[in-house]
Parts: sequence; C-alpha cells; structure tokens
Amino acid sequence: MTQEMREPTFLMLTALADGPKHGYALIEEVDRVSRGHVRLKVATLYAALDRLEKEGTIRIAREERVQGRVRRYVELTPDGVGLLAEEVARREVTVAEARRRLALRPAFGGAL
Amino acid sequence: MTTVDDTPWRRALRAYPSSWRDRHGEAMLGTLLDEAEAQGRDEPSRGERIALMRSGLAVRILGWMPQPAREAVATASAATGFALAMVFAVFSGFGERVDWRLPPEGQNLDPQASPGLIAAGLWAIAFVLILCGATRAARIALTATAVAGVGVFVYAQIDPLAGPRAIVTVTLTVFALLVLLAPVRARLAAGVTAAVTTGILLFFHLSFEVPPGSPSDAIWTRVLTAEFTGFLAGAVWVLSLLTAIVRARTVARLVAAVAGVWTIVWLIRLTMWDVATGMLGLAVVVAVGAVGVGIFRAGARWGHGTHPREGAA
Repeated sequence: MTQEMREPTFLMLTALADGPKHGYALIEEVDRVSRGHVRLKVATLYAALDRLEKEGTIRIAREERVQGRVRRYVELTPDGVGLLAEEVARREVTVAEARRRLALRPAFGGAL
Repeated sequence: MTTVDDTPWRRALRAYPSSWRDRHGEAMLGTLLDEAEAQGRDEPSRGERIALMRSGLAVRILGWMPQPAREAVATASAATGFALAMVFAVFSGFGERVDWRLPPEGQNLDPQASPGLIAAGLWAIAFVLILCGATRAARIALTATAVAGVGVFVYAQIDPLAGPRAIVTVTLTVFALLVLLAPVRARLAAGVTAAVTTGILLFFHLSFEVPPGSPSDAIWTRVLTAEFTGFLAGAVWVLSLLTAIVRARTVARLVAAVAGVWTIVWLIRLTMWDVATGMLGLAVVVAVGAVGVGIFRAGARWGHGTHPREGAA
C-alpha cells in the first residue's frame, strides 16, 4: 500500500487484530484502543467496513440474530493482517526515530 | 425480541440506496439499536440522523466512485480551482468598470474591486489550509467559498456591471464543491499541480497579452477558449494514459483526475456559451468514457487471465 493509512482505519484494524467483532463491539473497542480519542459513528463505521471489504482487508466472519437484531461479525483477511503488520512496522520506525531525536536534545532542551 | 421500536432508525436508513440497505441495512440497524440501548435512547439522536443522511447521500451520489479516485479528483480540483481563482484575482480582480449606459465623461475610471475577489480570497484561504493539513478548517473554508460563489453569482445577476461573469463564479463554485468530495491528503501533489497549472495559465495570459485589470471574461474569450480547454484536457488524458502504461499508478490517477477536471472546465465553457453545444460535448465525453472503461476492463480481464496473481491457487 503506497498511501498512508488513516488513523480510524488503523484503529479499526487494530481492534480486529485479536479476532472477529460485531459493529457495536468494534465501536467500543476503537474507543478503548484510542483511549477515548476516537468514537466512530455508525454511519462512518459501515462506510469504512464497506470500503475495507471491497479492498479485501476484512471479510464477514458470520452473522447472528440476538434479541431480534442482526449482529454481523467481521474479521481481518490474511491480506488485512499483512497490511496491519506493515503499518505497525512503519509506525515503529517513525516512533524509534522520534525517540532517538528526542534523546539527542541537550539537557536544557527547550529552555532557549 | 428487541424492546425498542426500530421504525425511526429504519426511516433514517432510507437515506441510503436500496442496494446498500440490502447489503448492510440489517447489520447497521442492529448496531444502531445496540448503541441506542447502551445510551438509553429510544430514538435516533439528532447527530445520528444527520450522519446517516449525510453518509446516505454520499453513497447515493458518489457510491460508484472508489475512494482513491475521489481523493485524486479532490486534489486536482483543489489545485485547478486555486490556480483559476488566483489568475482571476490578479488579472480581473481590480479594474475600471465601464458602464456603457453612461456617457464617457460620466465614467468612474478608478480601479474597483470585483465582488468575485471574495470567492477568490476564500479559495486562497482554503488552499493554504489544505497545504497546512488543516483538513476540517479547509472544508469549512471551501463550503464558505461555494456559498460566496453562489452569492456573487446572484449579485452579478442583479448588477451585471459589478460582478464577474457567471462562468467565473460557476467554475469557482463547482471546484470548491468537487474538493469537498474527499479530504486532500496528497498535499505535495496538490501544491505541485497548483504551481504547474498557475504557471501554464500565466504563460498563456502573457502570450495572449492579457493585461491585469482586464474584464473577468477576458480569460475565457482569449485564453480558456473551447478549443484551448478541449486541447488541454485531451493532452492531459494522453499524459495520464502514458503514465498508466509505465505503471506509475498513483501519478496516473492524479494526472487522470487533472484531465477530468479540465474536461469539466471544457464542458462548463461550452455550456455557458451555448447549452446545446455543452450537451453535445457531454454526450461525447460519456461515449468516449464508456469506450475507455470497456477497453480498460477488457485489458484487465486479459491481464488477469495471462498473468495470474502471485499466490493465487
């Protein structure tokens, strides 16, 4: 993937990394993973899921009916797992570089 | 059974086309009801209704266009709209407004500012915000630009001597709306495209000896003629084809978007001068586009058949 992955997509894929989840569980998980910074709207979630499904990043694992409501569980495809791993590696390199540069600052850094 | 009456949510989901509802409607409804139950609501919140309506309309209008294509069109429109706004501001923003209803001695020949400068100024602000990565602020500025464009258009109909030609406001408004299709994240590409487009427009302005202070239609009658915009669109389409052949996909997508944007400029130019010719131009674009898509799909099928993807069973 040549384009930079957007934060909500990264959070959604991260939330799905440990197994399939249904829509509301995914919203809650993204909220938790982002420490309350990102709360997906249902409309945004399904627009993203539709796009990711078309790209082959996720797929429908199963559907259940609970209290008369449909719960659709989605999961990462092997391509999706690879994509997330690539993005994690890319972010780790950036974070390591940021740490290295911060360590190079003089002790009085920022006092000037 | 669910204890909440789902009718209001089903009604809100009608904003989506039926094909989308067939695929996602029940799952979406389940998620909406799960969230409502967790929040103790028995009807959709106002924000939820607005989000569903906005998203549904977006799917209805843009569902056929893949996200990368949408982003490329937004980027190309941002660059082209900004270039046109700046060229308008420099060459037609200030000038003597000659009122043919008054005798020569009654003319006010002091340079006067065109109301179109409001839309051009907002375009500049929006583009700077795009380059700074302030996506949300840029979208607000672009919305304001579109509103200002419509306002100036109406004002110019009331007082034709004060406002710019309708083609100026229509073009600037259409491009502001096109940028709203998707957030512009390819900032470097937007900046480079804007610089190249501005350079081309300036070059032709100087070649055709269009001086600053010219009437707002000077660019459309002397530079952006139907022939020139058509030629430019065709040339950029050829360039996009060449970049696609060398498999520079991201560049090809952006160049194709620029070509599409110039095709829109060409169609606007044709339509604003003569609606029948504009419709004929649109028919030609649709026909050529259909043939192009057919060839592309046939080529993709052929490529898929002869070069199976790596890892395919």
